Amino acid sequence: MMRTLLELSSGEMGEVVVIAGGWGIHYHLATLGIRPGKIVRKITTQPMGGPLLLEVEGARVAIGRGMAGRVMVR
Amino acid sequence: MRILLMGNPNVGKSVIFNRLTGIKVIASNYPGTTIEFLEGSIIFDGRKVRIIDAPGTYSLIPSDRAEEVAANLLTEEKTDLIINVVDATNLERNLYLTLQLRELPIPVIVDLNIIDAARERGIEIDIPRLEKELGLPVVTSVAISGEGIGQLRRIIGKILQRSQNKVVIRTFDSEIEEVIVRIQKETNLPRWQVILGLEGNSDFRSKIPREIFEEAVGKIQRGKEESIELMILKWRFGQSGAIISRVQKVHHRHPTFLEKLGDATVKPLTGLPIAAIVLWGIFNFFVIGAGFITDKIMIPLFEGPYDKFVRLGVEKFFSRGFVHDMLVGTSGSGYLESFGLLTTGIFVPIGVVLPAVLIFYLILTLLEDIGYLPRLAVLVDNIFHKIGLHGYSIVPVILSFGCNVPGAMASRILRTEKQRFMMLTMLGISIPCTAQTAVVLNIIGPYGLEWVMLIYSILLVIFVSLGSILNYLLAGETPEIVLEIPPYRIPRFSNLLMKTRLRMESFFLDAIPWVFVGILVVNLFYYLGVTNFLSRNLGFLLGGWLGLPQEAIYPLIIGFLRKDVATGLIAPLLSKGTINLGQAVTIVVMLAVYFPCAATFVVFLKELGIKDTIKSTLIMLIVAFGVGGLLHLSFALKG
Repeated sequence: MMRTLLELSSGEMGEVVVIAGGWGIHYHLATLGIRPGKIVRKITTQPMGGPLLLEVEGARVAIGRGMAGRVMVR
Repeated sequence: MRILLMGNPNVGKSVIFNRLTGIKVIASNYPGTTIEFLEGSIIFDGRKVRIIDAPGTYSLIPSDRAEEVAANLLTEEKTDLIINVVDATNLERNLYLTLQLRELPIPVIVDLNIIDAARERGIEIDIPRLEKELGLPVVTSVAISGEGIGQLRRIIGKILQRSQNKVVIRTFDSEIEEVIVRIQKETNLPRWQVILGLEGNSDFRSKIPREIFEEAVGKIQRGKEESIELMILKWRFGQSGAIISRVQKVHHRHPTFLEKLGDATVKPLTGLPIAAIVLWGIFNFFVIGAGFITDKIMIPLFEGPYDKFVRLGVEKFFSRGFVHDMLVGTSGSGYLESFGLLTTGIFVPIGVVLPAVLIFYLILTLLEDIGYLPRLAVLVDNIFHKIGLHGYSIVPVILSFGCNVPGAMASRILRTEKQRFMMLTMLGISIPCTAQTAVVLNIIGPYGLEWVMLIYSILLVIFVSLGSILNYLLAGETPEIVLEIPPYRIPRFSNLLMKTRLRMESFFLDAIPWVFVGILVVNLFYYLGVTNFLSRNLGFLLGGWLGLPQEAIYPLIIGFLRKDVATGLIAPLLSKGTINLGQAVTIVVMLAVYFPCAATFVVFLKELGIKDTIKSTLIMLIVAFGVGGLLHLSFALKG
């Protein structure tokens, strides 16, 4: 079942399948280690439209909700 | 001979630079500490070799100003060697830059830094295999303790001795390769420039004529949605992924205490209360610490021995007249109010501002080295996003509380012109530097800390409303936060001391001369009658709408030079009763808002250019007079 990162609940893990968008979003997420094939774990979401905090291969990264909504995980 | 240190942000380039050159530089635990390159030199075999510490960059396709600085370093001058500093705990994503660098006609050494943390995390890297896969020499280091630096030096020496550098051509998959070869043939550009141009580096893209580019790319893109940039990006993912699968093993282990603490400080339920406690604690520590040094050490020192030797000494030689007044100011008034070069001129920077700067930088350095700032950035991102910035803007804001100059420079980490313009304007308007804060605490503080809090609350309201208005009015994007959050690290005492010392040094060199100039101007203006002239001819500006007496023009003019001296000028006005407390608050707020000090203004010109600086300055003046008038109105209504 495919979901976006936004739909993942805190503590849940998923494998990135597709990132919807062009070079920009692929590039910026890749600088944080998020790319197709990678396992990410959602740690928390900040309230009031705030960013998501994720764990990617042991590192912690933050991304905005707009981007998170375009990352499909399984 | 020239060596470049390049690597992703926050991998320890500056610490390696310091280890190699002995030059002390500011290094912290957050991405984007170095926003301008630094240069030093070492001697290798009797030859002087320049070493340059580039700002951190994720690739050679810059997406902010600091990354532009890094990418430009490669093209502006011949480089003999690149040391690619890599975070061993995040090898895979760091390899993206490494893969780009190894295509350049420049030798590259890969330095796997923070190797100790990688070992602790159970990451095992097969170094000889990595060397083979990359075709580059690889060393490991723990820069902060000096481990591995000797080995790095040896390899640098060995490579610099080599007379010739062989460029290995590494082919891409057949489709991409076809495009590269075709463009290369038709433009005669070097292969590496064609590749960077195709990957999206605009400098090199513009070297490829549009028709040639479109023709070559169009051929393979028919029926595909992906751009050539994305195709190359994905090819590089594949490369780094394949290398990693062959050289790295990760053993599972449990999260450490610092990691758990790290998550707790950023989860909203625990993170927000912790942030509130941390900020409240900092404010108190600052007020009490700086106040203690000023009141218990500096004032006794100045009123005791200093007074006896300096002030009385001067009065022995010059009982009155211009020189007397210039040196020790008006007789009978205190060190804050007399405005002599040797009284107020020394007391304000040393007795009042220095303690505040010292305490501020101790706290800042501690927060930086632990790695708290990026977490704070995540917590405040939602608020900042609503005013057109993103959470990482907290870094320039916090630096600006120290001094607006580094704060304005740090705005380079923001990605769009709009965000940079907004950030600089908002910093210039509503973030008072420590120097001004210290003087405010000393002049307004005695009337009650709530008056000081009032000033800061007004500035906060200005910050938020100005942000919303500018965000609404200005065209342009507000990109979302994309931020890596470094693990907490236990700060090193030596680094803490070194950084605080560096910052104090720059305070002495950059600030104190300006204080002297400020006080000199105050005295000269007074003697030449400029003061009276100005109050008579410009004083009317302050009348009606602002409700300030003519004399208030004076601090406002000196504010162009130095905010602390200007704020200090309020002291005599307040003690003589020329202005009341409400008016003092109005002047302090206007001083903070209406114009950055001379040093900051220079940075504005450099970062924004003339046109935007003028625009920014106009906004400042409008806000200053608007807010000043509103304050007058509210104080009048309140009675």
